[in-house]
Amino acid sequence: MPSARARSIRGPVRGLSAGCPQSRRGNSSGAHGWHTVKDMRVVCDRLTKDFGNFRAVSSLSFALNAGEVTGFLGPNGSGKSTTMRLMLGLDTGGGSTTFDGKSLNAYSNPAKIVSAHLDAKCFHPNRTARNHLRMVAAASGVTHKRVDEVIELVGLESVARKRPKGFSLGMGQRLGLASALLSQPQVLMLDEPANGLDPQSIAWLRDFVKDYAADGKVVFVSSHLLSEMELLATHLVVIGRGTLIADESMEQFVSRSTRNDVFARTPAAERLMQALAAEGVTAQAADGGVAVAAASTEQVGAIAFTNGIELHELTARKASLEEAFLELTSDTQEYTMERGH
Amino acid sequence: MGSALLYEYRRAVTLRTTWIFLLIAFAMGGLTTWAQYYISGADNGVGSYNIGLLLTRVTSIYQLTVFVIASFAALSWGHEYRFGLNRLTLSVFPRRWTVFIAKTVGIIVFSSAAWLTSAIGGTLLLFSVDSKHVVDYSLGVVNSTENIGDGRDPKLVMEHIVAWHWLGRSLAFVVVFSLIVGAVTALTRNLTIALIVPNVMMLFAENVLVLVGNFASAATANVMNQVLPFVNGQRFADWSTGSAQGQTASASVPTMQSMTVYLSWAMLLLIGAGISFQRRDA
Repeated sequence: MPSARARSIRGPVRGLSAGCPQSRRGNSSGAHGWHTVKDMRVVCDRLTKDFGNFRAVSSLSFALNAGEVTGFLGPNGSGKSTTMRLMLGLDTGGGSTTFDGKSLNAYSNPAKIVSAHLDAKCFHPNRTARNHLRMVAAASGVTHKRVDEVIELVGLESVARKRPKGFSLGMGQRLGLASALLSQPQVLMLDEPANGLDPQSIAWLRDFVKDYAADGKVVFVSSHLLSEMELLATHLVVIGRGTLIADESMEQFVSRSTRNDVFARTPAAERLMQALAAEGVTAQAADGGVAVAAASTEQVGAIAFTNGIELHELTARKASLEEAFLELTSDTQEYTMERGH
Repeated sequence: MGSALLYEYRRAVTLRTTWIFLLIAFAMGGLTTWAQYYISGADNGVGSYNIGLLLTRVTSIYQLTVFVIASFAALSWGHEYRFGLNRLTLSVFPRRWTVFIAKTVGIIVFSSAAWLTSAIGGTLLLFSVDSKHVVDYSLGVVNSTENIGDGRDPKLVMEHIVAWHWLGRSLAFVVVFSLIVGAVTALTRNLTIALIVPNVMMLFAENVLVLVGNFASAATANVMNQVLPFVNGQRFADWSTGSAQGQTASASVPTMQSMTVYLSWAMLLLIGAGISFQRRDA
């Protein structure tokens, strides 16, 4: 399968690369003054933000590593977007964010270090898509050729000369994404990039982002589409009410859920539960069988075998990211909806 | 700084509004000059064409076109907040002073260009209605009334050089007004307020304040006349005021004080806007 770096949303594109040429593990300042860093590491240290008396982000510390797609999760109003803005210096607050040990201000061309897509409607409605990108390109010393490349990459060729006031949410997302990709930054920050994208574009975005990270870049993505995030991220930063809930790998996070269990289907459910209880294993009747918490399939199988209990199915059930997320953030929901409404 | 200026340049030239404003400035310059040409009846016959009258026409356009020209300044900042572009801008330029300076430079350059466009519009329209004389007088410096119609080559008459500064004053008034409008937009983040408040202040509010001050005492009115920004700005730029004062270099002394007051207000607002821009959330 061709790399997503060489494909546009609509298909392969010749000569395209989303990766920064000098990011190929180089560590030098090129003739263009572009700063490249080997294994960029982003460190957020005690980020804090108050809106009046309300503390939106509270002493949040975490790190982002090169080569990883880090998912940024949290319920509505948990402070994700505020955190991203703090990281970029768009909001003023406490704490600091360093990019390879230095603040963003210390770089001569910050656009080459970090680029963000925070809002799908972040453009003037009467400035054509191409001109919008050319304007952004001027800021980071990017050529018009690169602008055309990126337009092709995100599949906006047909509307490049049109004013984006009539753009759908998905088209706006593509334009925002194109803007973020222009300078081929070491750190790519995306806030809800999949909102409004069609399934094909979401799949393209997923492949693209994965390849971008695999190229040695830092990718930080917030999304409410947990199923999508499950396929995309390898690391998670989860916050609730502005505080850190988890900063760990996807696997570790999901394994913390109590929804991880072993399911046994048997005609002797009652006997199996008694046998498990005798071994100190907690089990309960569920889904027409027995759900066993904190035990492996080997353990359950062995206990059933020892007690002569016939099993028709024995499955290790793994919680989904959504289940783990809902469970682990249930206490930090800022805004909840009543069931049935 | 270079890339911030380039960014600001691209921001301005890729918007249709920018060109529309220039076109309006051109048209308004022409129309207001044309209107004055007929209203003032300046053409009193060959040879009596007065350089002062021409300058009055060209420079007085600031009073109308300044609204259009300053709108650019308001939009320069206003679009950033209205469309959320400030987040994009500041994520590319985390050093906020760079953006602030680039925008200020952009406003100065555009308002100067728009003023020039307006002046050209005025001159061209005068030319179209009275081409016989206007070319000689187009900038009010390269001829004297003595040359009119005598067939000799135009020559520079030094006594008219002083007239240059009235053109300069008109330009300075427009630029400073634009800076004030830009600063108010950056401070309030509100396009409507920024477009309305300075204009209302200049056209009505300050006059009312001076009038109220007059009721209190002459001294109060005098103080207000000394400290209000647009009263002083207009006094600085108004050719007729200068004319009343003799149209000589010495006449510039009191109006320079007015400029100092006017400019001080602009600087104060700019510094406030700069600090606010530096400290507030994007």
